[in-house]
Amino acid sequence: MAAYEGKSGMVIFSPHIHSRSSIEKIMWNVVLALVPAVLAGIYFFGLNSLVIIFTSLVTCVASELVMCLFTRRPVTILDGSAVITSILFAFMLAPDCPLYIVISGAVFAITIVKWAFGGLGSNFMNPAIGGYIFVSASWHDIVTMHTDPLSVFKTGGWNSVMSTHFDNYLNLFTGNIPGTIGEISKLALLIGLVYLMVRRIVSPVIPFVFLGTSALFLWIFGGLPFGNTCFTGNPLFHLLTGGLILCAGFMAVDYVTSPLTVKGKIIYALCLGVLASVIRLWGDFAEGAFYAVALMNIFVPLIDRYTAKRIFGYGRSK
Amino acid sequence: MKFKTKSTGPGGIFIEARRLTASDPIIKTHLPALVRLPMLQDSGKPARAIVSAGDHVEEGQVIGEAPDSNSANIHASVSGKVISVEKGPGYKNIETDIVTISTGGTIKNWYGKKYDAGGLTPEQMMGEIRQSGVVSMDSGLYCTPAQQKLAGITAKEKIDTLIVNAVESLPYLTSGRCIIMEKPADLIDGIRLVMKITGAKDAVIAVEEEKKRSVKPAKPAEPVESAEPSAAEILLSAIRDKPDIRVEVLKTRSLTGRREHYPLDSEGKLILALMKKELPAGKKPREIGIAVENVSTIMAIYEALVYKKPMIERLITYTGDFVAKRGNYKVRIGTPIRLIIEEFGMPSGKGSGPVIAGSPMTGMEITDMNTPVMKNTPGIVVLSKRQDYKALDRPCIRCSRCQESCPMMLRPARLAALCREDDFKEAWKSGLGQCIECGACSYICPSKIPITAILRYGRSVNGSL
Repeated sequence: MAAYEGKSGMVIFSPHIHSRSSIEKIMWNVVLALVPAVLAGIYFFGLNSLVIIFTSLVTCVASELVMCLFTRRPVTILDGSAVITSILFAFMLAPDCPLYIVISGAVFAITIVKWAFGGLGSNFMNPAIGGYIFVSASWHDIVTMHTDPLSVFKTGGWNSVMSTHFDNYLNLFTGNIPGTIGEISKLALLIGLVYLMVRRIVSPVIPFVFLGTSALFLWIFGGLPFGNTCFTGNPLFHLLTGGLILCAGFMAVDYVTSPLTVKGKIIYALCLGVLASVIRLWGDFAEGAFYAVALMNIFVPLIDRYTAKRIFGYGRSK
Repeated sequence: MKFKTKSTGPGGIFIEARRLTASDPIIKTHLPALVRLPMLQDSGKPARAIVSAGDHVEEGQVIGEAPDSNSANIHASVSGKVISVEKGPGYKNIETDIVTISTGGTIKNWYGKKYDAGGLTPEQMMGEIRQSGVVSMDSGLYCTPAQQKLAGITAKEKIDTLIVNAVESLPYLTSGRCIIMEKPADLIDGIRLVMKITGAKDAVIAVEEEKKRSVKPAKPAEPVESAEPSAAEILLSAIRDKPDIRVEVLKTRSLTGRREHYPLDSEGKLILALMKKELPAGKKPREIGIAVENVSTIMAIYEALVYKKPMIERLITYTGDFVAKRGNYKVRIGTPIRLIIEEFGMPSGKGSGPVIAGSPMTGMEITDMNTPVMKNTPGIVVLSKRQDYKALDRPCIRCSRCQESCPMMLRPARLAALCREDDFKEAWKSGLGQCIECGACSYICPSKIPITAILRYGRSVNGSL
């Protein structure tokens, strides 16, 4: 009765009916949700951004294919996971990023961050962020030193934001600002995020708690680096600049590298919000959200361990 | 009528209930040309065949004697001649003797005389039940001899409450609802008898919430479900305001507004919803003063006591999306599934998929159509090709859907990974023992990992260690 055999000669036992969900469906829905942001990037930065996204896409899928063949596993390049990684990785780069950086980052993301740990489902860190950290550490000046409202704010404070007219919230929201390809248009990202939530692919817990914590933290402590008192920060400006929304909506929610339970997700997102804000206010980098996600990814197994649900019938922990 | 509903706690999946036969009447089938009666039809010990080829047997005659008081007798379900006694698969495909009887002879009318069961002592009732070979018919495929369950109760523990499981959260199966619709008064009498046996002071009948069913008919020609009385309403009118039996309605809607039907009726969940008690791991309900019995079992006990009718028939649901003559049929135990399919038709061509004994969620695929209907067969479902499925077994992407769906709040994917690595000790520590094998995790898994099959394997290995 209870014989379970491996793939060959699988003995099919109950249940005999299955939901129609599949990895492919989830992944391609995420890709679909990223399309508005891709279009926004192309609209604001021109074909150059398309070239970067396309290069990243081809490199990631090719790396995936090579790794599938190398590890003698079924070729799964069509499941969409490598496509998501490639788009998210390109989103973190500036539109004038040299292609050799794009290629090396994409290869690193897929081969080292994803496949060296076992491929889909086994990576300990979001591959796109892993690739970004690799290129930002290797070519720091090229990758991270671009002008966007956030870096202007960090170096010159609110006055230089005013003087460069980056205080136009409508422009910040729609994406009519310099920055990296994917993070500029908050509108496009939110459209995709809402789609994923409606399709119940992404749980709203992580995005809301992440963004909420960041906003609160930045409002309370946002003024401190500029010599102001507490409660003088500008959370709206912070939410609309940098990669916070991209991170909260598409990277922090990655199934593989986020906690399993709601409790765990809240803890994870709270830490993310605080970490991202701290790096943003006092860190060396303009944008802290990516690093915060990478750091918290590492803590996910620990969070999972201590937030596991109480098994039915096991009694309250004594 | 609006009822206050009770929640069964977290977990569960949204699954189309496909109650295609919910308002169909109980139909008695023709006598089968032959019956095949395995000597092992429950979790007890196999009965000893006391007939041999050539013997003539009467309907209701004991042909398999239970070796001890915790196993069930097997009765001839038809009159006729024993053709052969041979080895074959019985309960859970365990090899046992199978007695084949060719039908011919008198048909007994069991319902002619009504005996006064109320005057019997609990011990006498237990004796009758033991004689009649009644088994506890949970809607899954697991079944224990009824007296084994009841004997434990009467011997040691004091039972306060009898929970009557009238919930049918398994998709496709509707026989329990049929009993409620057609014989509510008999059911209530049966509950009183079981209350007397167990010494329970009160009984709770659990039914599920019936909202406007969101399930659309498979074909547009089919009538949309009309406003028939709900099971709770029928039961309430049958009880007629007697305070010791009450009806409770279980919630089928979760916080997120999605209907979560399955699984509602595991013993632990029922006790949690109705008694606000959590059944501790490894304990049986009777150890905390609760007895749980299924509607079908109570009806079988009622018939055994009031009509002295042994368990030779049972109600099954023969159904499937493309089965034309689907319905709730009373068939003789031992009827080969082939005969049922021949009589009621199998969907042809593209509609025809695997044949499942039991519900698609917990049942077993039937490959040998000579397999008989056994005491633990709640129904036969012919799936369509579309529902057929091949286990792809992709990597887990930690989507956490399995643990959200798990009614026992386990982490099914992790348990499956542990079982695959043969780390049964750790798996057991992580709650493998609490798994009720409901199949929700396998159903929901986007990676199509056969989690339930792996956990079942792990449970069986650990059990034999």
